[in-house]
Amino acid sequence: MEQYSGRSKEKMFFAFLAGFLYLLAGSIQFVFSLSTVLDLFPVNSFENGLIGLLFAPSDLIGSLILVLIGSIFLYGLIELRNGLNEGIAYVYVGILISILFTVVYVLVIAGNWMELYLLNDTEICGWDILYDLRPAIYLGILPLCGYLIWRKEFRAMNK
Amino acid sequence: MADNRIRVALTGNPNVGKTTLFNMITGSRQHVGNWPGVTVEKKSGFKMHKGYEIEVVDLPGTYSLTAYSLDEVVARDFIVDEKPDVVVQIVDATNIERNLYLTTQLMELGSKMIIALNMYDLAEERGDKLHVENMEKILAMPVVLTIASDNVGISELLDTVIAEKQKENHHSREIGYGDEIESRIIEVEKVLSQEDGLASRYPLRWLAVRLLDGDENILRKISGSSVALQIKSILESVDIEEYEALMADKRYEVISAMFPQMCERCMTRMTTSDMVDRVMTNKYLGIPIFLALMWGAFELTFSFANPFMVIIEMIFVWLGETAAFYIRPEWLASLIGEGIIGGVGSVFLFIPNIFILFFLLSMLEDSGYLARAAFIVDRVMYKIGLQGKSFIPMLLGFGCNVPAIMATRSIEDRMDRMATIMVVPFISCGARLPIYILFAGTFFSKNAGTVIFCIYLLGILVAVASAKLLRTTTLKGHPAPFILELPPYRVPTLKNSIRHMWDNGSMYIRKAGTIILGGSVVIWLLAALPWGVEYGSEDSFIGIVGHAIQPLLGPLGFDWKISVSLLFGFVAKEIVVASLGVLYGVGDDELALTDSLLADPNMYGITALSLMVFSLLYMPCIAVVGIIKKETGSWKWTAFSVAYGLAVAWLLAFIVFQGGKLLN
Repeated sequence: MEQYSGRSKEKMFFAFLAGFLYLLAGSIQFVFSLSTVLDLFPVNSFENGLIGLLFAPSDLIGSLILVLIGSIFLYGLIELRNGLNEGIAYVYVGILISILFTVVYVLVIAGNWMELYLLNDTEICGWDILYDLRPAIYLGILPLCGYLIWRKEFRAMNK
Repeated sequence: MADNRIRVALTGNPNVGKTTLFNMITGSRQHVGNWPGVTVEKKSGFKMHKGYEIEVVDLPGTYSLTAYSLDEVVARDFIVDEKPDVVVQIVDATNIERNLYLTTQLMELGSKMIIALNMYDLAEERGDKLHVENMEKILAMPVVLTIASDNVGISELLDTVIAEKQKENHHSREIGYGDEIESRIIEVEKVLSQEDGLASRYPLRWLAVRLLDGDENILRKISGSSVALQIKSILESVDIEEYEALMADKRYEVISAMFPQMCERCMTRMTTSDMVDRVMTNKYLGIPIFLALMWGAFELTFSFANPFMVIIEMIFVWLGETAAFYIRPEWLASLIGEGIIGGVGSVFLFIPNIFILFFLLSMLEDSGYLARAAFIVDRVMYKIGLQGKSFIPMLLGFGCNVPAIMATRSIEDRMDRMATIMVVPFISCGARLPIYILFAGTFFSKNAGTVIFCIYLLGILVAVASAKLLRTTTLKGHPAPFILELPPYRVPTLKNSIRHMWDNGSMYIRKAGTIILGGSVVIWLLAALPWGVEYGSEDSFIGIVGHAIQPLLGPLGFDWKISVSLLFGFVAKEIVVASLGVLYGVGDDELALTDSLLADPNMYGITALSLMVFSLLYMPCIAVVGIIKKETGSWKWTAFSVAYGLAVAWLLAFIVFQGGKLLN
């Protein structure tokens, strides 16, 4: 594990940044989703504001997944701060899971796009890519960068 | 047996690659999983090699020959009773030390043995240094390096099998258990030798060791012999539990002495798998990660399959229209269009969803993650009175409940096993997926993926609650402790995942062409007869049957069409959708089944939800009922399973429908 200690500060910063962003986006989306379900606030005021800007439509489970990914990164940050190099595992798994969900949401968009533009299915007439754009997609860019930078290091953990 | 025929038994710990090796040798396509307990029955296949006909028998994985669970009994009885010419033990090269425990027990059987040191590439990759020659000398048997998944070493292994078969002298090593136990072994052996038949069937030393090891299975084998009483009195004079522990200690002592000479640097180190497991099996994060991954799978199953469903729908609508236009007489057009195309097409429509779900589950299984899922739920399972091992059949149940119930054979404790068999039918199999997709997609289009995920979750919750109920009432007792070996994580290969997807999913295509086709014709006949009535009307036979059972299901919001479809679902769950396809006359109508359902004034969101809950929980299909009877050996438990499922389904669907109505 010694080989990672030199670069653990970078990973700590990465874990903090990714954890913070995922947790923030997830929390905002969760509050919005819950208030939509419980009908607490007029939906339009949310949709036109921050929620619209973040492309975070009402999606209760999707928001909990963002919170979960954020928690994995932050758990890793705490372990790394406590001098436990195993915290890298949390960064690694956090990266993998966040990329996985980015792929899931991109495939959902791809499915709808195929349905509309290739098959001219009238059932989803009026569908726009923005309807399916989720925070998990653009937030996934950060973990993807992390993966590209550290992929050799992660693979080498086995040796 | 002719001289050019060789019978080989493949044995080894669970998840060391026995089935992969079996498939490579015989060219079979038995299911292989990256978790223990995939093989629960022995399977055999043949291979011609250098003029020899080699019969290969794949035995269920076992950690020892103590035979506590049914699959272990299958493995041991085959080696002991069938006496294969050669026994090949597949040893996981990345975990030799643990695998050697079984080796020490197999050695005592006196069979001709070969070690296939499998996955040696992974061991070498992580820096282990294997000393194959030392291993051969110490164990007194040939050792062949193999990578079963890449077909490496298979030919050498078969050459060695032939060479072993031809050897006349066979030298085997025995474990010394210390003076006290050895004197008892000799005493028991002497008594056993007085019974004529025993020595010809079993190695007497092995029998003596097993008896002193407290093996009840062996005790039953000799219970009818003339020496049974003498043996019983010897066993009563010793502390069996203490002997069992001492003998296990001796075996481990021998293994500890042998192991460093066989492998250098094979000590336990933290690997990527271990690191990933810290997260995946984390006390707080493990279950949320599992739920998140399952949700992702269902979301994708629903959303990404849509375009493929549209294509299939277009094809079947076109076929229906063509049949109505060209085929004469009219009744034949109706049979083909409304009956066959409508019924079979309604099920075919969901093939993309089924294939995508199986592909994703295969990826999770091949990666080794599903074994972790069993591990992380063990604590919860223990609290409800089951062990984590019960979760593996439940996970298999997502594909089909039949192999899931068969997989309960790996559960040692009878009470645990019975409880698991009773609750497996609540786990939603692939055949029920078309019902959810149809109704969730029609009435909850935006949240369909989440609704389906919740239905699957409900199945797990009902299974868990039922297990708790059974374990505190009729099947009382404490769950047996659960020991599960976590296989290493592997990157799933596209080829394997596609193969697993096809193995599981093709069953539905076969069913569509057989049982569903037949069912659709029967339903069409019932809907068209007696002659002269309006097709699918209340006056048709199907209408009469539907109206007869509708009062029972009316409180759940179901009309006669839904009621009769559910009745036919007993044959196979897909028939529910096929029946609706026939009854709603999709074949020659431009409206798809979804549009017909939306246009039905009796159908709305809460009815759809109630129907999905009922379909999830009500009686298992006929194949599952058959396997429950076979595995429990009891009509009483089989009837209980059917009646209990119906009662739970009715109650929960009633709560959903009536509760929903009240809230609205």
